[in-house]
Amino acid sequence: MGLFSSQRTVIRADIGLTRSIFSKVQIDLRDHNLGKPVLLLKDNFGASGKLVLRHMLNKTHGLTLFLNASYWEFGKSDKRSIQNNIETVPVQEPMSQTTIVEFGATYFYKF
Amino acid sequence: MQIQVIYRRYNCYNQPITIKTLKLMYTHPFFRRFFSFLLFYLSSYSICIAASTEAIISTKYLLIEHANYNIYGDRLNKEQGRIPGLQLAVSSTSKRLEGIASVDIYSGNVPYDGKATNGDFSSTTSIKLNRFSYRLMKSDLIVTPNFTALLPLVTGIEIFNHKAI
Repeated sequence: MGLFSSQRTVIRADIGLTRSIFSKVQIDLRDHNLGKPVLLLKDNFGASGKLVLRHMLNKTHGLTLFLNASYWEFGKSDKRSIQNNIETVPVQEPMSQTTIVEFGATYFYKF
Repeated sequence: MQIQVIYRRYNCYNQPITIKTLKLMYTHPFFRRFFSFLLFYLSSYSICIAASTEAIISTKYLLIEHANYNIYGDRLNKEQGRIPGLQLAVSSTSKRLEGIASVDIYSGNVPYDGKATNGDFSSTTSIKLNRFSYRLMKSDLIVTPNFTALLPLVTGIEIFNHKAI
């Protein structure tokens, strides 16, 4: 979505919806002789947003400033019983929430 | 791997007035192979008709917060940290297509606040993320497919180390 536009400067905003599918997590339990079981996570929704300012310094050089934000959730995984030579251990990944905010600056050269 | 579907609506001056994005993330091997093949095919098409090319260098800063919860909503642990990164990319734009190939490198530490498997209640996790991605957009359609893909099976470039120290 264009918020502002001039001959040399553009400001843009995007809003997104995220849906995870076929989500898996691998847990490294090799220290306990339980291998690396793969668990299926419950899929869930998330959201993302982006704000970008792009400015041309001249015909070939330019700068960009950006801010990205993402949020998503995973439900708890299926429960699996993992067995080594000594014991049987139930393994389950709990539900989780993740937020990532990314910001930065870009220099670009236009050929 | 992610798939993004972007919906754009244009006003009478051909300026986008609404954009809706649906992003899907999945890890099934079949879809990775299929889209890796598709993206390589499309990228060669994009380069053939490219009208404008940009070389891009970016410095980035990631703020990450990750928490796990039990079934009652109580927080089990929390990882919160800042990770600096660097991106090198090449963007190729034509009248109809825009393709961006990039290499991202992130490295940093994330404090872990919670019960670890060895019984500690706090520790630090080091994260290194090296990523190759390719995104292709077709800009003249109302419904715009927008693919963002990691290609670990084809290139082996995606390396994710998540190691407690």
